[in-house]
Amino acid sequence: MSWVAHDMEPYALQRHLGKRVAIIPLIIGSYAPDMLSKWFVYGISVFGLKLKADDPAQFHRGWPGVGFTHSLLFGVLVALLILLLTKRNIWAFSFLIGQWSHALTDTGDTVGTMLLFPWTQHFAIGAWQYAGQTGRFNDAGAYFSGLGFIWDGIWIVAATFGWRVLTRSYFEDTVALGDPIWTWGISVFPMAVVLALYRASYFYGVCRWITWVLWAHVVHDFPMDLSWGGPMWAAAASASGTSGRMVTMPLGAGCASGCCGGLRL
Amino acid sequence: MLRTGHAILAAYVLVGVAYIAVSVMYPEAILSWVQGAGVLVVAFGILPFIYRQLRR
Repeated sequence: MSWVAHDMEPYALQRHLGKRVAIIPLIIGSYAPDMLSKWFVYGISVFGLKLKADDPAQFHRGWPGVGFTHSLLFGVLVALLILLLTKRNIWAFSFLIGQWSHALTDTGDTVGTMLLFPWTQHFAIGAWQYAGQTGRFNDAGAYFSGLGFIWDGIWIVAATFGWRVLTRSYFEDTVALGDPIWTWGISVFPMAVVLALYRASYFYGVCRWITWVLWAHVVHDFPMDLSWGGPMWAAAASASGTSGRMVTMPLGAGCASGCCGGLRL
Repeated sequence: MLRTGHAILAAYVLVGVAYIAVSVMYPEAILSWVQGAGVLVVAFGILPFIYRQLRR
């Protein structure tokens, strides 16, 4: 999976597509494949009851499972639904572009995505290890110790090169113009708040990239491994099945920060 | 004097540094999109509003 890439893609796309896209459905599309499933991949506790998929990688990316949310067809179907309900081509198109960018980006890990679902073949480049089955913190530790960390950094650079997209003048002239959601927002809230919401995904993406890097390599001691398919200390899940656990857990004895809650597998 | 654009950028950087500092220590409690957006709304909407009210 990718982390910060999904926060940055909408701004990079906005820069290139200008008035041909609407940023809100673009961002929703970029988050859509994981929106309803990620919590079940990592697992949560509700009143002492642990809720988590038996096979997180299979559930997240496979079939049976909700892996179809990472397919190109899913984007087309939801975009058609948006078009049917709103009659706005630009919203449907923007959602489609956002969702496709997510589905394509996630082919970078070892599990990949079923891009051409209902054909269940996974397309996986395998540049970094999928470690969603190990929970959020160990997944973060693995992701920000491998090439995923570089991949996200490239997206931050790409979005930052298009910094004009984040300016007030660009927002007023290109983003808000003709979009009824922003027109309403500007009429109700102060401009500073509307701009803050417009910039929120970029802000959050940069902050969490820095945060997880510091957390993984300063607060903890996850070994950095930028080799292809790394980090090798994490047992990769693959399209043909997941090992279900890490081989070596840097979050072991000696972790005194408490923020991980003693999370170990 | 900072130009307005630079002052706003500096404000975002300051808010970001504060958010990162807290998030590194409490990633489970703090680090989510909703809270990231919430931090910006508080910093650029609610706090300036309170400040203006207090100055009246």
